[in-house]
Amino acid sequence: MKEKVLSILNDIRPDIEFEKEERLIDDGMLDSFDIISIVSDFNNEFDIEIEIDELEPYNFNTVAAMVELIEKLRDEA
Amino acid sequence: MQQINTPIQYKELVTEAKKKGFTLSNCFFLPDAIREKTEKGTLFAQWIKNGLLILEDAGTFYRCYYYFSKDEKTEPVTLNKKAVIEFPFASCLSDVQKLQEEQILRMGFSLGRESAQMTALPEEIQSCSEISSMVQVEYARDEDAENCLNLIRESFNELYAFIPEIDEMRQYIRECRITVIRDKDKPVAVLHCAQQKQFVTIHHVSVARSHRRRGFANTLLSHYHRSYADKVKGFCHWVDIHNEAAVQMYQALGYHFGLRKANEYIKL
Repeated sequence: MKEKVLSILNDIRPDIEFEKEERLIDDGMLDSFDIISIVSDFNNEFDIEIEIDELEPYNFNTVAAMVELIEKLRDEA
Repeated sequence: MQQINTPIQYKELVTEAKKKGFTLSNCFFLPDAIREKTEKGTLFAQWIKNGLLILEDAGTFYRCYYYFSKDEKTEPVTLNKKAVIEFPFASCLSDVQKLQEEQILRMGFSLGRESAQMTALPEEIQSCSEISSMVQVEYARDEDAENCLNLIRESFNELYAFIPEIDEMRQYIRECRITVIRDKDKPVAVLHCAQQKQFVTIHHVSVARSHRRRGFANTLLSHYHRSYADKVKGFCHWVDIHNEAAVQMYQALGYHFGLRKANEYIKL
């Protein structure tokens, strides 16, 4: 799953070395257009629904956090 | 239409939309964005047939976000300003995205622009023969801000391209993100770029109508590529895929299409 998440992220923002970054949101590296792309792609690819309560910086600051979020939502589904 | 004054009000609206079964959405604001927009007073909500619209007031138009039902159809909507829906996707629309597109079109929006991302590595950039040797590329000065904005407005539709405010333009000039070609000391061509980490992106390239077909765009791009070749891993930008002149120009420079695309649906 991590590889798929990275593949999606790298398509959206090839300029960011996602595995090295720990503050993608807090440092403003991802803008609102990126977030729309990322959440849409995650919802589509993993058949999940990321809800408003999950749209928090800590869920998107690192690749690991995003993977954890997706896994949690898949388990709940 | 109601103004959304607080983040709590925003969350209540979204929760209500979800309870009604409106689960197809492109509205993914993070808390800081919600806070900023509600404090500025730029967020509005409008319930529609089988959906909820969240409208961000951008002055002369709305940026439109939505919550739709998967199964129940929307109907044509009436808005008091022009509106645009930005719809990014990878390669091609998925089934869920096609459902959303159908709902968007039922609301009375139409496909305004199809964009795609183009990228190039520094070693892929080709030199261009159509460079004007008669002009010099310079960094813009603070007093050029208004002229640069006018040049950008001349070439770009505000619905599709982010047009900066005058204060933002002055900030970009201070950050050396704006280069110009002058005629009698007045900018007649402008390039606006932004470096993000290891890539640099073109936001605007514009040449005054009176000075086109002189190679000014290529001259600006050539300077841009030389300036960043040793500083970045790659160059990228978004292009209207139906703007054949622009696509051909970038392809001739060594750019190629990536996987990312975006449609912009508009309601005038």
